[in-house]
Amino acid sequence: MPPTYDAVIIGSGFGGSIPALRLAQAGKKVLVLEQGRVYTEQDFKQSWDLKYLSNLLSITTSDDYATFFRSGMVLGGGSVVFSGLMNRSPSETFQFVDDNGYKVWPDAVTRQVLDPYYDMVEGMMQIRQATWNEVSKTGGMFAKMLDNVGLTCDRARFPYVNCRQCGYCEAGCIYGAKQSLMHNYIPQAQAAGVEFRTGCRAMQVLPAAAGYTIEYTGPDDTLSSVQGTIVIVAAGTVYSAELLLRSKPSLPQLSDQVGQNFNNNGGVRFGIELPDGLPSIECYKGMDSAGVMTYAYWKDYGITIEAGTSPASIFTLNIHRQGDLGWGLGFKQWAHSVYPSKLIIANIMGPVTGEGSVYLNNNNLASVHFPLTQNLAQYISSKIAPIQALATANKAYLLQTMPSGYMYSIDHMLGTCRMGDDPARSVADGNGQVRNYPGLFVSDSSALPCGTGVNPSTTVAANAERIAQYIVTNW
Amino acid sequence: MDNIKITESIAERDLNRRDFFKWIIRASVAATVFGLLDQISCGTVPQTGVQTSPYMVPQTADEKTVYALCDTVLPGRTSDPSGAPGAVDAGTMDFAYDKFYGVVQEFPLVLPLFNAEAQKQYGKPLYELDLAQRTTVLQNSETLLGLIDQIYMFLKGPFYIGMISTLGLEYMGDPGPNLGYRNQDFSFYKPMSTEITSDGNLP
Repeated sequence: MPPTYDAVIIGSGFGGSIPALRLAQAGKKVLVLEQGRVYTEQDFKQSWDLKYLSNLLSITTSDDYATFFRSGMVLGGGSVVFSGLMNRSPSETFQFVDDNGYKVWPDAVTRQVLDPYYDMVEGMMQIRQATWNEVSKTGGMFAKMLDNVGLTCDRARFPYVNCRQCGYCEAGCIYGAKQSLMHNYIPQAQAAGVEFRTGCRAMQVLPAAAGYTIEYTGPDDTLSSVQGTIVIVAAGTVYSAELLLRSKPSLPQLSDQVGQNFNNNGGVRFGIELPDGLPSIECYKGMDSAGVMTYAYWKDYGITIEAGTSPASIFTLNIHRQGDLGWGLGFKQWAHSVYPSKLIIANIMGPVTGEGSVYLNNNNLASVHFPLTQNLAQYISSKIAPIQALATANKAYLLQTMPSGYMYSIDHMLGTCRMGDDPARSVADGNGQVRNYPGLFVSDSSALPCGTGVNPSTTVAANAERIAQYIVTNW
Repeated sequence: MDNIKITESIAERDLNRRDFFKWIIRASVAATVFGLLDQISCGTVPQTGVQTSPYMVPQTADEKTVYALCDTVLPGRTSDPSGAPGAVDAGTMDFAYDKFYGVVQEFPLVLPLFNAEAQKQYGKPLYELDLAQRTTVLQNSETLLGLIDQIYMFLKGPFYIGMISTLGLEYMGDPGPNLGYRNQDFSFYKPMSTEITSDGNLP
């Protein structure tokens, strides 16, 4: 008989640590299995070297090798390695109808429903709107470009306390200024009795007499098992789907939607080369996010845009002028001419139909299929058009940033175990409970059915709070 | 699961050598003509034993080809007319042969492609060509083979990320690791921005 818990949670990011705390506060005995290891401020480095980052991140490519995806693989998950921008999803997001005519969000989940949970998350993580003095020059210049054509730009919201603006948020904040889950939910959960086991990779979920058995490998690669009356899968969009797909032989009634509807939050990354004659924006200075977000295109185009600061490492990506090469002497000279004074990198976000998928490869591990479909190409083309107009109006230059002329955001992965009202088109119900398997929940980014219109972490966190409350009330 | 290596990850994810090869030569848009070729006709790969940097000096034919590839993707001091540093000066050869990143094990698959194109165009291996010729070879290889951008990402990494030396960062004006810019005035163009929300969130 394996050790038994009231709840076993797989993953320690927003979707895992938040329910862990709430269930423990309700008196439940909780175990969290985390594949990554524990990192503290003393362990972080100001470095973009993959040799270092691969200790914090899981890096996946799409099966056509065109796109890289990254997800946090460390105690605290994505909260440790995200840029920190934490805005609420606009109300219209929850009414999104996809290209198939399906309203993807459950009716039970609206902005109004989530607002109290957003409040909880914002309180726990000390999220606040940036002051203008925290908005970097990059952000200020982006705001000015919008203002030049009569458009608005707002200061964004962040979980930062005494930020030093060093520009290494996504490598782990060495100053402890970013209030990741390591600063709030996780220590409070530990104090409430939650047991966190790191270096543990869940391999399979099996039905048990009372709940479910989780088989997992530990740091020494030995196979162990635990049992939970409740099991919450919160391993991130790729690995939650991987785990459930691998569990399908023992959970045969799982929806055939597991792994489907993969999307990247409608992310399209682009660059702007500023014209000559402006003061240098010193684009390496500031938070990883430039501190601003424009909603100017939300009403007409269904997108928001965040601007970011840029380390020189941005030039490892295929960012270059249209028609030029992304390498060679000309590229080197061009990069030197625009950096760090004239380069703005920004990211479009918006609800989009999820046409990608996660499936098991021959090694029983996740592969991501994320093709540039006709719909997606059309989405990118339609969303980049107003940005081209913005650049032109400012005598700036819109830069091509990716192979084949596009760039998918390499984070913000959503949708593979989505909630929904239609059992035929969703993995879980509106409470995050997996259909046909009472007590089995998904509470992470995989449960969100479409792009959130903004950076998704706040909505992932608020939804996890909501699901946790449902579990506490009903289990 | 500490220290998950990229190479192991690739292997674990069922990417065998053939898959990786396909990755590297994945079809992509045809390269367009680069208008600067006339300006870049200088520089060839250092002869064996000529130490131009504290990093790995190419000895074998394959190593010379890798060196030439690096020096074409980001031309270094001996190739750039301005004398500005490039990939090889920033230690990219050391990176390329670092087994952690896994690039080295794929060289036997890709290097012959460059040399075959170089032989076809100029009757010489890649490493015996000058920068303009090498650039043309890479452009043609890209056209023919859909040479993908990922290998360039890898080869540009040491220079722009500063993982071997800080030479590239210094050249770019990126200070790298820093104590922050807490006293910097970030209120840039503040009076020029209009906000539509009261707290940063749309309703």
